[in-house]
Amino acid sequence: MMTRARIAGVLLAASMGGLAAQAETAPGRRTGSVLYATSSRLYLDAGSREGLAPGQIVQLQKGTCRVEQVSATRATCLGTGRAGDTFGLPPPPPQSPPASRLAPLPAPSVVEQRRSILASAPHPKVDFHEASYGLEASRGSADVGVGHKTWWASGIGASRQERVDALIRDFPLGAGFTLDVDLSARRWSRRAGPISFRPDDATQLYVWEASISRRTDAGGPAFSVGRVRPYRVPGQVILDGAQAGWRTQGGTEAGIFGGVVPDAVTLAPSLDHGTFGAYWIGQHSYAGDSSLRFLRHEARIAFINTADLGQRLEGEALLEARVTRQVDLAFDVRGGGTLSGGVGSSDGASLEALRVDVSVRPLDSLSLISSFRYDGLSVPELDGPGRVLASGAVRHADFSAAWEPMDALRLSVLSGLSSDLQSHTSRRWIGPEIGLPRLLGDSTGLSAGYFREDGWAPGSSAWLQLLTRSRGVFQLLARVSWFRTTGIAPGDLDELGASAAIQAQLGRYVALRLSVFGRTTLNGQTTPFGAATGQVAFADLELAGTF
Amino acid sequence: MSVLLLLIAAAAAPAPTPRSPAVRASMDTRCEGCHSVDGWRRVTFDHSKTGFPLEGRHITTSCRACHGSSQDFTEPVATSCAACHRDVHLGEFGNRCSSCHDPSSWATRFGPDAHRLTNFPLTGRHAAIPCEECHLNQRDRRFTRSTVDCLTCHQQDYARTVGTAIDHLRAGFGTDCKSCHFPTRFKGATFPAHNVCFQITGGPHAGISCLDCHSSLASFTPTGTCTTNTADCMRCHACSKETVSHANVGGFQCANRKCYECHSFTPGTGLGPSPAGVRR
Repeated sequence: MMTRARIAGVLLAASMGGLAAQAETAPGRRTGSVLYATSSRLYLDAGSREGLAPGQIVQLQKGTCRVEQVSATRATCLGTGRAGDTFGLPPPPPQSPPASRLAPLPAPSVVEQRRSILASAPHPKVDFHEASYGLEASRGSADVGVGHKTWWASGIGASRQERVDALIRDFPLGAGFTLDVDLSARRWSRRAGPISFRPDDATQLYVWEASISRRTDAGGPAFSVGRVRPYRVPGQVILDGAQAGWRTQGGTEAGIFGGVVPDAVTLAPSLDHGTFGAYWIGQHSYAGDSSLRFLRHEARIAFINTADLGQRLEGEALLEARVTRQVDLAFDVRGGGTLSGGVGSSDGASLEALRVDVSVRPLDSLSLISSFRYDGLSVPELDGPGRVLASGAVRHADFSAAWEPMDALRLSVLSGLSSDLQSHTSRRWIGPEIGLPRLLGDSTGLSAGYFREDGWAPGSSAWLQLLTRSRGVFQLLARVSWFRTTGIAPGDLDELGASAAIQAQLGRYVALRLSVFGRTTLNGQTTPFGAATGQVAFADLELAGTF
Repeated sequence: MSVLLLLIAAAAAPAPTPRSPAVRASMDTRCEGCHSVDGWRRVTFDHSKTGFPLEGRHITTSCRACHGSSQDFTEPVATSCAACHRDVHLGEFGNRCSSCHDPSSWATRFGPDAHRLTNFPLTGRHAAIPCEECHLNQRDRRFTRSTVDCLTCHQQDYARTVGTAIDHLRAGFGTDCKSCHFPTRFKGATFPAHNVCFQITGGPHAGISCLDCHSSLASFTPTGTCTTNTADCMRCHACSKETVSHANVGGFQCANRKCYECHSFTPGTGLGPSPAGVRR
């Protein structure tokens, strides 16, 4: 072992020396010699470059030796001999042609001269023409899902529902026409417990949208016909009819819409109620040096006749702006008045809805988000004959601040307020959240939070949440929650819950989604985890395709 | 000496080549910023530098789906969800779709936990019922309409007690369900007002049901006088045993009314003897 190490060391030293002597090696050298000799090993002045290879027998003047190790210019050979002995070399291997020496760099003045010649030389520019340019812009998407849901509660049993959902957006039909579909077909295979919603309809079909449209970026006439969710008409209810307008190249559009309004609960077509009105859509992008970078403004005025609200006149306006890169604003206001009839009608014109959203990012690491919503319209919801769920004005506000001092840490404060102005009840909440979004690199994050709640049902919440994902392939969101609620029962109610949402991409187009949720009370009128204790669970399994 | 050599070397070095004018950072010249020689349509661009990192389905979305037909991708585009997505909720929830929808599939992730940030925390069984049981309007997909008043949803349950042993309407029970019922289940309700007369939320009679004691609630009227005359103590407490245990109690009678005249088990009364004579 020591001998081999010594040999390697000598070869290394010899190689380094040989490298210096490379230039001295005459091409076409035919003989080599022994530089040094021991009792059993000879050190040769030739190596692999001269054609020697391990195992090769070298014929000396007196006797032979077997080549042991080889470097580029030196070799050891097992055998006996004396320093100075010579031996014949095999024919040298064919050598690759020597690399030609690069020409010296031209002087900077020469480079500049050549550059100017190239810049001034006339040449035709080649434009890239994407063959499917127009199609890509409106290629659309289709999402189809087949799923099963189970709701379970102790003492009641399970309710099960199978469903098929389809969502098609801007699917090209040719000649600039596109198809939009949004529907859900549901079948209750089992319903347990008291049922409030459509108890006699085990099979339900909801079609929110089934329309053919033509609306191009190049401008011109724009329209939709069918079951239409009016394109960018703020607050407008869906209708069986048409929307028609004129669109400019910049995206500004104005027009009218009209049709009959489907039933609020079943979405069944109905000729008893209808709507018509006019709309305006406008948006504009400003130059990069402008403080106002983007502005969107939409408005509508409509007459609506529905079962719940009677005959009404409504007006709504929406304004959305982006100011610099730091501020996003959105403002939406709706007013209206009842002309006649309606279960929940009220006399006179009034402010019916107001929404304000503000998002500010003063620093890259700090974001502030707040919103306010007021819905002042008393809208009775009809669930079949004789049952009216009266609801009134509500108000909601929230504010959150998030600070990310580093990529791996996120500190947040969340707060909110929600009020029912009819029952004069409200709840408020505030609490911190600590997030480690890159706990294990980009794939895994962890967050924990706590809320202190106040109002008609005060209490506390705490949670721990884990999110892990392999981008585009797998995602797991797991969460454990604890709640304490008072005021909603004769005594305090403690609950412990756990949930998980898994999404696995099975292929390019198909994904499997599973959501499970369970919760149990920890006290109350029964013992924790007892048979009669309130325990609930929910599972949602869906096989979804995206095309 | 070293410094001198460095100075000499610097003086002898050729003057630095004057830098060519900076390439204008515009879309028409810096092709390599987004395109590669693998194919003109295989575009790679770090969108997070724009302040709008692409997540979920946005990663595979066509550039033009958001930027339209404009050739200039530096033209500002609204970052709010509603700028690209149709708001099926008619603007009810503003612009923050991501608080309920997952960017990878648009599937809703709004669950019972998130519902706690409203005016109605989903406790007990409320956490596992379909949304439409309370939010009936399917057409507008709005959710704020339901109120927190119990009777709004449970008026049928209240009416269902008519003709039963505990006829809520006849008994004059209010419609504030939560004052007696837990959200976990309707059966096994408590009646805290009962404690004024006879404690049932604690002590030896905790958790007992109404008809375990009362022979009937049909004519019950909560007057607060503790005189329903329907409490049947003797159903559980045998006279033979109670007479013996009360041998030294003056005025003792083995009669229902006489029991709760002394034993209310209410806090502070001190009258809470062990139910030695309970008949099981």
